[in-house]
Parts: sequence; structure tokens; C-alpha cells
Amino acid sequence: MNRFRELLETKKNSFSLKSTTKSVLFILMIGLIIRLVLAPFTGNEYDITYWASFIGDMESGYLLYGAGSLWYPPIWGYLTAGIGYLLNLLGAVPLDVLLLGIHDTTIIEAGRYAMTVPIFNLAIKLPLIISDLIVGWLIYKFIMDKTNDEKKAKVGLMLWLFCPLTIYMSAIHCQFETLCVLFMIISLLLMFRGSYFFAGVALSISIITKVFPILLLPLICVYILFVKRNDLRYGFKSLLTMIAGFMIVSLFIMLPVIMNGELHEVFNFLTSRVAVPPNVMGDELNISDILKTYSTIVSISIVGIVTLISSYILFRTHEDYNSVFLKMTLVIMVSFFIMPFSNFLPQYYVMLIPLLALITALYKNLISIWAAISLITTVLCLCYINWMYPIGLTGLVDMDSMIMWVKGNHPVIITLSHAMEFIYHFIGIGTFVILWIKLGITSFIKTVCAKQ
Amino acid sequence: MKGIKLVSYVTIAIFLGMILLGQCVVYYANPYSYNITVNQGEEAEYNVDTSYNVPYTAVSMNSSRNPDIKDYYLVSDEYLKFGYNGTSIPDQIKIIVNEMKIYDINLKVINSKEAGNIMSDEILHDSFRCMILFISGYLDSSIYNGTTESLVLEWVHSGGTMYWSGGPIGKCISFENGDILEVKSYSNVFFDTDNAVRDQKNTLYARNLQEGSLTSKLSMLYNSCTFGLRTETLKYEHLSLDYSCDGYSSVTCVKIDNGMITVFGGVVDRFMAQVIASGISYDTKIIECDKIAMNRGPSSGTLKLNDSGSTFVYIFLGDLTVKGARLFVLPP
Repeated sequence: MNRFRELLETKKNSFSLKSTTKSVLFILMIGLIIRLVLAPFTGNEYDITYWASFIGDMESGYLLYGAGSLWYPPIWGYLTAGIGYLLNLLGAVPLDVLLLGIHDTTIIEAGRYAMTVPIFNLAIKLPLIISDLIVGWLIYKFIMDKTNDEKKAKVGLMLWLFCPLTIYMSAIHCQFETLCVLFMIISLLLMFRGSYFFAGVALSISIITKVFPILLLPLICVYILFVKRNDLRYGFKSLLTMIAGFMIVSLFIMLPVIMNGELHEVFNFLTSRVAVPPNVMGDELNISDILKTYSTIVSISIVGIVTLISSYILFRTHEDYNSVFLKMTLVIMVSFFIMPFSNFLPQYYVMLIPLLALITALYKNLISIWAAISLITTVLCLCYINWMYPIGLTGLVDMDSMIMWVKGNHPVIITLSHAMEFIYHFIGIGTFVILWIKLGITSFIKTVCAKQ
Repeated sequence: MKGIKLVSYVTIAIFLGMILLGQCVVYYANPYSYNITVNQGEEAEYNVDTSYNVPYTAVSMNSSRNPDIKDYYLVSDEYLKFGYNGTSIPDQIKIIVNEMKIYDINLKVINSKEAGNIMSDEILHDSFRCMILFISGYLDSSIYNGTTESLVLEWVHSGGTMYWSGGPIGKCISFENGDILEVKSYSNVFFDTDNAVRDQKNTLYARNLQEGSLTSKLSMLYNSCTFGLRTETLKYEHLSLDYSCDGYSSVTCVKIDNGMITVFGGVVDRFMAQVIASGISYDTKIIECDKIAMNRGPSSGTLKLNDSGSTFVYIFLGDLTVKGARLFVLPP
């Protein structure tokens, strides 16, 4: 009889598992459909043109950084070059008509920008869209494994998947922060499961994709070293394993760049954010440019200090080790945006979204922060970027009237974008303060000091 | 957690595979190769063989000026780090030198003194087989003194081929100690007419490409007119490309006695390379043009030729961006 009951229980569980899987698949499918609908007919006029130009440059025989159309670390370049080659091989897109010139229109002053065709927009965004889905699934699975609470897991999944900023970045703008997020999350989750080699591999990919997770290195080192308080040897061994994974893959990714003397180009996007802009065309240096540059430099210093404090808090923590680690990860990432008027773009805030989703679902309700960040940054992006050009290709929308609604050409948009920009500058410090209060960082510090 | 591990490992493996594919495309393999040949008979028979899908254009042209250039030089003086409008000279050198490699042209960087020696040598031997490109917007005092007696002008009048970009041509003389001297009647010095050169710093871009024109057929997309020439004032024979704004042309090839000056209306831009490599001059005319929308593998065709002047065939892959090109100067 007992055996029968057990069997019945198992059947019931497997049935509920199937229905759970179905509902998660349904959510993922909705996320996918939203992105697939938006992807072909939208794109940041500046970035997506660069990706198409970059493919053209590879066809011309340039190396990764030869033509100046890539100023990010090499991963996105490799990926784009591969996609371009496959598209050409399949004959799906005649690559040279990717760029539909708009030289003859009145849209762009410099006449250098172009529209990219829908199939290209879709193809180039596909890895980003898939990345969004995998991140969503990982968040869901991690929360499920930790809490066995489906509701919480779905909240986490939806906070990531339906975040306007996430959708905007992968399906509209076509920036690759989501890849950085994907491998950062993989790295953290593998680390929690003790798979240090592959955690190192994923961390390497994440950092070489867009550098930001480099801020977490001290915290990660502390986490691994003291994950077993009574066994420091295990900590050292684990750390060395992770470093091995990190180094091997870093070498694999960077070797061709190093061999061809292009290493100095790899972090152009980062160094340019902290460089004083040159005095072009004899104009006086703009005060806002100077402010941005020095704000950025101060931001980096603040991150250093916050990282040290957070690492120390983690080091002194004996209970809820993973929970404190995740919270400190978020605190460090937010501290990056603390300075108003820095040079950091709204898209960088995507890095915070999965951490906010995880912490909200697992530990503390941070929905207000999530909502503020995702709305302000997304509206700001939509106001400032001509993301609708490819729609013009369909002939359904008149190009001139479309332009009225973007890039600050319409009075309503001008007011909205100025308001959003002003708020945007203070969103970092605001988030940091709220996080400090909500996560009870002061009490953390007090506890740590008391223990000492 | 098994699911998390499995998905993570698979994701990492697929991603590393994609990175490897990209590395092969960029560094290890050469999937974008091509071969172009031209045989001359009564007509020019061309063969184009590409390893990938790419459009190409084959054009036969003729002009009274022989476009056969042996050496390509770019002038850059170490004491000048920034050009007339503040752009970085090393950055501009990198752009144009790399771009010219696509056309299989080795653009050698020399300083003004070396350029002066080359000019003197060509004048001495009455043999003009090189071109010299100036990009800073300045002319060094060793070759230019603000008068028609300058070495650079003597060289051009004798038959030299000069390309200019970066500022109003002839306006500024630079000195090794960093001093800059402005010439008042520089337009007269170069073109024997007043106000032929635009002298305003605000950038000016044109968008008026004409369908079916030489500019359009040769995909010459250089469109900055900031320091361009006002073609209606020019007394000399000249060819100006389509892009023009307020009467100022983005690219103008001007016949100066036996020589030629091609003035680009802005700073260095990769689209300059197509103008230089195609060998067009002040009286170039297209005889026949074949545009192939998409090609993969071998293909061939014929182009009509012309008996008068220099006849040459220019074939380039790509359209908005050029992927490779060859110029064939045919014997008369």
C-alpha cells in the first residue's frame, strides 16, 4: 500500500513538473516572440551600422581592429565576423547591401550612417535574444533549486525577461551587454556549485566581452578562499582551479589579437570613457565633457573602495554566505554608477537587472529599484536614439514624421528626454542609498565590527 | 542543479565554438579571397573569381592623363600631431594606409623634406610616376612659401600628381618650430582665381549623388565639402564628383598645366582610397561599365575600349564598401 502511495506521489510530482515546465516554456516563448517581433525592424542607427560595416571590413581583409569599426574587446568582433561569414555562405544576405545608404536623404548630417536590412538586424540580434532566454532560465532554475517555490522562480524569470531595458538592449538597440550578463551569471552559479574551472572559463568570457564583471574579482576571490571556513587549503585549490580556467580561455580568446599586435586596441571603449576629449575644430573644451570624464574617474575610485568594504564584509560573514555574496555583488555593481554626470551609458545598467531579479525573488523586495532603473534608462534610450530607421524600409511609416518622434526633434520628446536625463544622472546614487538601507548594510558593518 | 551545470557547459561550449569560427574568419583562414585578371584584345576581357558572395563593378575608362602611378606617398611631419581642424594625424595615417592596402597599394609615409627631394628628382628627370598625398591641411615651409615659386607648385605645374585633404589648400605654411603662417591669396597661388577654396571650419556634408553618374558607378562616396573647391570659379579644366554643397565640391581633380591636383573637401576618410586607386583625373570618361549584382566563383565579361588617350580598366569588389580592386592601365 505504501509502495502504491509512493508511486502515486511520484506520478503526481512528475505531472506537476511537466505543467511547471510548460508554464515556464510559455513565459520564455512570450519573451522570445516579443523580441523576434521587434528585432528585424529596429536598431540603434549608430551601433548596428558599425556591426554591418565591421562585417564589410572583415570581407575587405582587415584584421579585427584594422579599420576602426570595432572598439570593444574581441569577443563581439569574433561573433559578428562569424555571423557575417555564415550569412554570406548561406547566401541569405548579399552582404554588401546590408548597408542601405541614406546618403541622399536629409536624415543624417554626416551621411555616414545607414539602415541595415531586416534579415541582418534579426541575424545579428539572434545570439543576444538567445542569451536573454538562457539567462532567464538560469535565474528561474537557480531560484527553484534554492527555494522550491515556483512563484518566486517565475518572478525572478519575469523580472529579467520582461524588463524593458533587457528587451531594448537585445531586441532593439543591439548591444551585447546580455552576453556579459549571461557568462557572469553562469560563472556565479557554477561557483556556487563548486565547478570552479568552468566558473573561471565563464568569468573570462564575461570580462572579455565587456569588462564590467572585473569589479567582482576581489569579492569572488574572497568567496572561494573562505567558502569552507575550516579548510583554507580547499579554498586555495579552488581558487587556483578557477584561475586556470580563466587563464586558459583568456589566452584562447586573446592569442590572435596579441600575435597580430592589436592588444592595445582591446580596451579602447573603456579608456575613451575616462579620457579628456580632444579639442576638436578649435572649440573650447565643453564643461560637461570635463565633468563626465572626472566623474567617471571618481566613480572608478568609489568602486575600488566599495569593493574592498564588501569583500571584507563577506570575509567576516559566517552565515548566509551565498546570500551575502549576491547582495555584495549587487552593491559593488551599483557603486559603479554612483557618480552623477559620469560617462556611463544607460545600457550598462543591464548588468544590475539579473542581480535585482535574483535578490528580489530570494531575499529582499527590490522591485522599486528594478522599476526605476528599467523605466528611466529605457525611456532615455528610446528618446535619444533613432531606433526606428529600419521601420522606414517597410514603407509603412513616413521617414520624416518618424524622425519627428525621435532624437529630440519633437517638443514632447525633448522635454521628456531632458527630464529623464536629469533623473538618470542621479539614479546611481539613489539606487545605492536605497540598497544600503534595504539590504541593511549598516547593520552588516556593525555586526562585522562587533565580531571583531 | 544538474540542469544549471548542463546548460552552462553547453552554452560555454557553443560560445567558444562561435569564437573559434570568428577567429578563423578574421585571422587563421582567408575565406574572402579573389582574383582579377584583364586581357586586352579589341575589347578588354576580364575575369573575376571570388570565394564568397560579393557584387563587383568592371569599368573601362579613358583620359588624356596616364593614371599609371608607380609610387604612392603620404606626407607627414613629425612635429605636426594634429591637422588644421584638430584631427589626429597618426589616426588619419592609419585609416588611409590600411585602406589603401585593400587596393593592393603600399602608401609610404614620408616627411616634407623627403617629399621635396622626390619632387626635385621628378622635375630633374622630367618623369612623373608618383603621387603625393597631403593630409594635415598644412604645407611645410621647405616645399611651400606662399607663392607660385614654391617647389610643390613647380612640381605640379611640371606634371606632378598631388592629392590634398585636411584644410583649405595652400592657406597654411607650417614650420618645424611649430609656427603656422597664413597665406592671404592662397586661392590665387594655386588656382589663379579668388575664393576658389572654402575657408570655414563648420563641417559641410553633401548628399546629392546622381544616379548613373561616374561618381555613382565608381561608388565614390566621399562627401565632405568643408574645405572643398568652388568649381564655378575654377579657370582650369577640372572634374568634380557628385557630392557638392553650396557650390563647393567634395572631390575635384584640377588640371594644372601638365600636372594635377585632386582636392578632397574634408579630412582623411576611407572613401578617399577609391578616388586615388581608380586613377581618375580631370577628364576621365567612362567607356563602359558592367555592374554585377552578386558573384561567387569565376565569372567573366568584356568591356569596350577607346583608341584615344590612356585607356584603363578598373574592377572593384563591393559597393558601399570596397572589398578589393585592381587598376589595369592598357597599352595604347
